[in-house]
Amino acid sequence: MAGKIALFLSLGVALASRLPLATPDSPPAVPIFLDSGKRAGLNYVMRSGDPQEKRFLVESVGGGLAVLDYNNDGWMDLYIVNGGTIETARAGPSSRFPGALYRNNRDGTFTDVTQAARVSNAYWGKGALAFDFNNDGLTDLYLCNLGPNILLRNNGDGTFSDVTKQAGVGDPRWSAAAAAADYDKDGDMDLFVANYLDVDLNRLPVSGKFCSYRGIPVACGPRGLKGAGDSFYRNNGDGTFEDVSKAAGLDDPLGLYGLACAWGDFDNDGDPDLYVANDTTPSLLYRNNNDGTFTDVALQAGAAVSEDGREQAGMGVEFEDLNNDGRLDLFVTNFSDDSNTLRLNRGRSLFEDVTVVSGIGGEPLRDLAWGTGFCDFNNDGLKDIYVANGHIYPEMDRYGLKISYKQLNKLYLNAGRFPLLNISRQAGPGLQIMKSSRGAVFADFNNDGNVDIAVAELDDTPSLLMNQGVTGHHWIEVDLVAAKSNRRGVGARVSVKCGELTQTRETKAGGSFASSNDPRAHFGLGKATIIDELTVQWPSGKATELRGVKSDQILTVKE
Amino acid sequence: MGARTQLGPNPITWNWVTRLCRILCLLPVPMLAFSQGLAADPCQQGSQALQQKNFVLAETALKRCLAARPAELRPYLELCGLYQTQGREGDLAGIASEGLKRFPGEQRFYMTVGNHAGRAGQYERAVQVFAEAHRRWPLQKGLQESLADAHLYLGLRFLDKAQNVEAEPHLQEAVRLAERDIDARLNLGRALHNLNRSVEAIAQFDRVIAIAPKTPLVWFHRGMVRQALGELEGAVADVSEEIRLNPGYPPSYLVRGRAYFTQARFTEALADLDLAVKKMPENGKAVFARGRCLQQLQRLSEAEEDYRKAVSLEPDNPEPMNTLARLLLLGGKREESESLFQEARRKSIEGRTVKAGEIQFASPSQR
Repeated sequence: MAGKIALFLSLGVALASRLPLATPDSPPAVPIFLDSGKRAGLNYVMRSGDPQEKRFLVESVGGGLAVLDYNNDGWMDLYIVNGGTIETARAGPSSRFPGALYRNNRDGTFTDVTQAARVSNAYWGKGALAFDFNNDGLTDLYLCNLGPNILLRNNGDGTFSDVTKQAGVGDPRWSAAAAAADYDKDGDMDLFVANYLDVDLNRLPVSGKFCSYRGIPVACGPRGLKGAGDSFYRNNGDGTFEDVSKAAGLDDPLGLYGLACAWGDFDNDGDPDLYVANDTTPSLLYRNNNDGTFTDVALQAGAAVSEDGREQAGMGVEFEDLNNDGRLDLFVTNFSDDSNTLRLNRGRSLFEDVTVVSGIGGEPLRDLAWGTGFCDFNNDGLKDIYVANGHIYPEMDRYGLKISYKQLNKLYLNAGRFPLLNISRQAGPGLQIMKSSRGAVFADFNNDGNVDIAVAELDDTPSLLMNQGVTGHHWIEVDLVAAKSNRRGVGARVSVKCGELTQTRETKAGGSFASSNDPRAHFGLGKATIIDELTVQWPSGKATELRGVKSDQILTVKE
Repeated sequence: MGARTQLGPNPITWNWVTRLCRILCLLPVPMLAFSQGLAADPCQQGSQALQQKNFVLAETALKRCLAARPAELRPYLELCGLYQTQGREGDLAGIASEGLKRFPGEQRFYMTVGNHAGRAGQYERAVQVFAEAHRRWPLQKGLQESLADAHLYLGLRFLDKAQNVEAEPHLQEAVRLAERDIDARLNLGRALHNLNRSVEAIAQFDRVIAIAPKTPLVWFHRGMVRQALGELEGAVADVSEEIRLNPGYPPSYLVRGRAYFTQARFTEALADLDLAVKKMPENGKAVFARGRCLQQLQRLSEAEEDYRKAVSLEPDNPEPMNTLARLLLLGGKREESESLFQEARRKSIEGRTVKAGEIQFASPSQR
């Protein structure tokens, strides 16, 4: 009883103090973003059905991107998911929509190396995951498709090879997103795939219940349609995987509509847990039982439905420490007529929905949100929130509903207290672009210490938002090279302490919407030029501590 | 919404008594004398009896006249007059309907049949009749207004049954025909909002406010739509205006309370939601909203009480169940919490499951 009272009291105290996040920097510096996509040479159009009309959900959901350093030159490259049409998908494998791998030329431009690298996708691409599955120090690619997924092994010579069959990870369903982590801490990366709907391209829903929005006939679903279960593959360490979906308890037998996923150790017990955002069905928070199995604790933890008990759309997810308390918080993006949901991790496996007090809940409800991330865009030591928006029904524009198909993306600045500040209008022309955005990835593409953003735009070329930085604010990026842990140290907790401020970031493979971010852990340091203490808690259990680290560098830390 | 007056009597409703008098007064005396001599002719007999106010004989004779000379207009007119004099609505409507079939160019019959249909609640029939009349005499204001009324009443009937898709086109037509009819616009706005066509709904409410800013409930409805769109400042302003004009309308407090809640103004929200629940104690949404507010204010046992009541008032809604379950879990009532979560899950699955045939599938054609 005392414990329960204490629990209530702790939640109450947090609310009463309006959830202070960190020492505020006043006034907060606003980062400016410029769209350099076209100038950089990113001209691949992610085609998905007819741009004017999406008859079916498979055309309107779109896809994501992956950030990877495929040639290990220290500069982040970019992969863009390809898209497709129903006609080409029905006809079988096709070279019409290959996707695009862009090599970073280190001068603000990129070169399309898709053909040279042999990464063309013959199926309808939906999501992309960059991870080193075979621990050879080279980043591989896993493509989530409508149709068989594809695992591309990086050969180290600028090319990739399709090793799906040998690996045994070619899930044939509509896979929306994938994320990887070393769930059993055996030193290699295991693979989770979130699947969305069970689709027969020769028999698609055309009318009836759940086929209208605001009185307008639109693409049917997902409600009323058959969902697809998820897949989980354990890495055998020899280039092959074993499907342990059911054994691990991650198979989703109810067929909830999985759209986004991210790994994160939410209960700080040293092993990765998994969050799956499901569309219009309860989301799942799988706690790792550390015995090869997982238990869904989403409802109990307050992470399955909204604070008022509603099942939300669950399009994209970020699973990171927003308020620098050392615990991973949750942010899930949702459909229009609903707000995005921010939940702070209060410990003891409980999340508190702070959507309303954070100011997120008070925004107009016209946005339909997808890719998202917590990044310190102004390098002041506090993580901010970016959200990519775009509707799924092009019909919106024809009915004068003031809900547009193409929408502005949003940037919320963290000034150390609630409410978060919507600075979208002040953040430069890069935030004034109206497109139907989907996946968003966060990376330092020009290695200047400022987090840039690449956005997948449906039926359009991607946006590349280059962060112009904030004068006088310092940073550090931590690049991990593991020995005992998985090679890239995915799942490691990196902490940076400067004075009284301690920041934490857990490295990941997969998140946002159908996407994969820069694997380096970025921290803004404000005015600090020396880091008092930098700690890496490796997945293996080892810890590395460094003191007096200089700011403004990309630091490689080895296990 | 209060009920409008029924269709008719319209100022230009054909008044059969007046017309009848005119007919009779126009008959010259010699003609009357001559007609008496032709008493065997039922038509003449009928007219004569009518003039003498021998209604029984008149009705019999006029009916025989109709049977003998169905192509003559006059007996229809005279029977209409007779029935109206006697207040025999049904018979009046019947003979006018007959007359309408035979003499579709005779405006008087449209008015009679249409008005009768309206008073009898046969709004589809009223729409049909007045639509045809309006088509024939498009410049007749009275017919246009009658048609607008018919569409309005038909639309209201659908709206009251929550058949918003059916209601909307009739209300649209009512507005088109009677641009300044605030009843029509207000209810069209309601239908549009129910169809989630919120921006179109707001346009209708804007127009009502422009025409008659003190119209009861228009500020409430616009505020409710704005709240649904997340325009919270506007929602609070609108509903506050409604409360100022019309403080006795309980749903206003619910809508404003929810808007305050979403703005994190919990104390103000609670004041409104307390009132809403007091005035609408069996409204599950009000009780649930107050529960959420109480929970935010850490008045947890009261919140639990409200959630329990909300669940009992809306037993098929998984949302209050999930919320109550979570609160119970936090309070250590794990077993009850689990049971509620399970029940909520069952309800949720029911809500998103379709029966066979509810969604139609096809093989998409090539483009």
